[in-house]
Amino acid sequence: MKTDSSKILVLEDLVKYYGSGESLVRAVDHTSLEIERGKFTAIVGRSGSGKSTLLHLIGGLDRPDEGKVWIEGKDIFSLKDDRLAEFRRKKIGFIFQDFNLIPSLNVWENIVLPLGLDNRKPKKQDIKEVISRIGLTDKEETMPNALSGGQKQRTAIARALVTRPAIILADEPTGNLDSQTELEVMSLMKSCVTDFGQTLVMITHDEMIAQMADRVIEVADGKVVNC
Amino acid sequence: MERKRNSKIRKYFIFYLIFFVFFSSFMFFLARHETSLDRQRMLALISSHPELEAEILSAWEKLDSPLPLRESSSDGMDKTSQILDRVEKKYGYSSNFLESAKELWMFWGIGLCAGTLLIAALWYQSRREEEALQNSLQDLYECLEQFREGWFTDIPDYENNPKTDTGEWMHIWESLRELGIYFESLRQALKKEESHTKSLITDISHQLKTPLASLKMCHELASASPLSQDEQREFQEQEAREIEKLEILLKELVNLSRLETNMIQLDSVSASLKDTISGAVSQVYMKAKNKDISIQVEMAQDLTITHDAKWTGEAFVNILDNSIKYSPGHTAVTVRVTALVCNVLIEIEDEGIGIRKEDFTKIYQRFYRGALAKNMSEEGAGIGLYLARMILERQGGTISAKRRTGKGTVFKVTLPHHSTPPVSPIHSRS
Repeated sequence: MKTDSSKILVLEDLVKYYGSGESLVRAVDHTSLEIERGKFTAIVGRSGSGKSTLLHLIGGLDRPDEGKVWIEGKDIFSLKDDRLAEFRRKKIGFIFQDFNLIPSLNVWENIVLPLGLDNRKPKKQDIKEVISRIGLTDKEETMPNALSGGQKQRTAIARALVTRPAIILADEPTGNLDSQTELEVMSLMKSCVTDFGQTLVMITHDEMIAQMADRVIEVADGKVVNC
Repeated sequence: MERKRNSKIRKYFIFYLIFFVFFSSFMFFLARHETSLDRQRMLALISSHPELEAEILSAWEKLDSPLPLRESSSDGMDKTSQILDRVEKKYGYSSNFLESAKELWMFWGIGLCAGTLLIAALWYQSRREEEALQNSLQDLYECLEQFREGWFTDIPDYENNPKTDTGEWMHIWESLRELGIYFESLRQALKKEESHTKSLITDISHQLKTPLASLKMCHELASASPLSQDEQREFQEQEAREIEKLEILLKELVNLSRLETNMIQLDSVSASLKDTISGAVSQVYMKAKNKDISIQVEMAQDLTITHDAKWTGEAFVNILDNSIKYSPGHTAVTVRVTALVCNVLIEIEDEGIGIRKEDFTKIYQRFYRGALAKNMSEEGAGIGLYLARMILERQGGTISAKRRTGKGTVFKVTLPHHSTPPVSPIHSRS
C-alpha cells in the first residue's frame, strides 16, 4: 500500500484481541484511521473501550494481531524489535498519566534522557527553550519527588518535546491533576504542539480537553464510531 | 570516474613497488648480515681448531664463490662439500649463502605473488566500493529527479539496505525523507489554504444570501403594493432592521476573512489584561443592561500579559455577547480571572440556556449554531466563538466550555503570561 505522507499516521484495519472463547476481549476491532500532520487529535471513549490499547498499538508498544500502523509512511511493525525500539525513541514521544519520571534523575536529566539513549547530543539552547516554554527554568536541578503534579507532567511534556518526535502520544495526561492544573498543562501542550509543529494524539475522557482538539475521535467497543 | 580509478590503481602500484623495494633490500641486508655471522663463526672455528684451518678456508672460499657448491661435479669440490657437511653436522650451523640466497629468491617470488594478489584484491575491493558508491549516487540522483517532478514521498526505505547501511548514508536518506515530507506538507498546506479560501467564500456568500433575500422581499413588498402610511412605516422599519443585521454580519465577516487569510497579524505586546477585559465589558454593557443582566468582573489584581489587546478584546466581546444573548433576563454574567503558573485563566460564567453535550466540540466551527441557539429568537451567524478561538489560539491560548452544575455555561479561556513567537516547524529546523 502506498501511503500519503501528509498523513503522519495511518492505521490499517488494526485488530487486537485479548483472551479467548468466552472471555475474548475485542480491544481493537478492525480499526482504520488517518491522522494529519500538525493536528491535535483527541481520542475519547468510555473506560474499556479500547482507547489505551489503540494508543499502545499506534506507539508500537504492543504488536497487533492483524493490521498495520504507518508512521511517516513507514510500516512500523515490519521492523524488528530493536529497530522498532529505536524508531519509537526517535519518532514518538509519550506522555503518560503517571508521568513516568526517573526518580533518581533531576528535571534536566529526565528531560535529556531520551536524547542520551540514542547517543544524540542535546543542544543546550533548544532544551533551554523548551524548559522555559513550560515554565521550569528555575527547577532544572530539582528532583521529581520535590515537584508538584503539574510540574511533573510539564517535565514529562518537555521530555517528549526535546527529541522533536514526529508524533506525541498522550494517555490521559491530566488524569491525575486538579482542574486548574489540567487547564494549564493542556494549554501548554496545545501551544507547544502548535509552536513546535508537532502532531498530538491524546486519549481523554474530559470533554473540555476534547473541545481543544482539532479533531475528536470516539471509540466504543474497539471500533471508531465517530470522527 | 575512470581517471580517478586509474590514479587510484597507480597509487596502489607505486605503493606496492616501494614496499617491494624496501622488502627486498631488507632481505638483502639480512643475507649480508647472515654471511658476516658465518664469517665470525668460521673464524671462531679456525681459532679453536687450527689444524683444520686450510680445509675450512678452502671451503669458505668455495662457499663465497657465486657458483653453487653441491651441484658441482669436481672431486675437490666434493671434498670441500663433505667437509662442509661434517662441519655443519658437528657444529649445527647451516649457512650456505647460496642456500639462503635460494630462500631469498623464493621469498622474492612469494612476495611478488602475494603483492600482486594483494593489489588485485585491493583493486577489486575499490571497484566494488566505487560501484556501490556509484549506485548510491545514482539512487540519490533519481530521488532528486523525483523531487523535481513533484514526488516527494516515494523515497525508498534504506534502513535494511546493506548497500547503504552506513551511518552517513542512512543519515542522508533520513534527511531526504524528512525533506520530502516537509515539501509534501508545504504542498498540502497550500492546497488546504486554497480549498479553505474557496469554502470561506462559499460560506460567506451563503451567509449573506438570507438577510439580503429578506431585505429584498421587504423592499419589493413595500414598492409593489399600495400601502397605508402605517404599513409603509412598518416596512421601512423592517428594512432598517434588516440593513442593520446585514451591517453587523458584514463587519463580522470582514473580521473573519481578514483573520483567516492572515491579513491581520496579531500584535502581541505587554498590556494590562484588566484594560482589555473592561474594554470588552463596556462594549457589551448596553446589551446586557437592556436585558437586565449584570456583569461582574472578579480580578484580584491587574495582570500584565503579552497579548494583542484589540483582538483579544474582540474575542472576549464575542464570548460575552454569546453569554448575554443566550441568557434570560435578570441573570448574572461573571468574569473571573485567576493567575496560573504559565497562564492566566479567565472564566466567563453565565446562567443561560447552556449548550448540549453533543454540541460542545462543534460550537467553535465556523457558522455552526447549536440546536438550542437556533431555537432562540436571537440572531447569530455562528461566527463569534469560531473567531474567539482563532484569536486565542493564535496567541498560544485555549478556550473550552463546560456546563455549570446549576444552570448555564462556563467558558474557560487561558492565555500565556508571555506568549512566545511561534517556532518554525520541526522540519525546517532539522
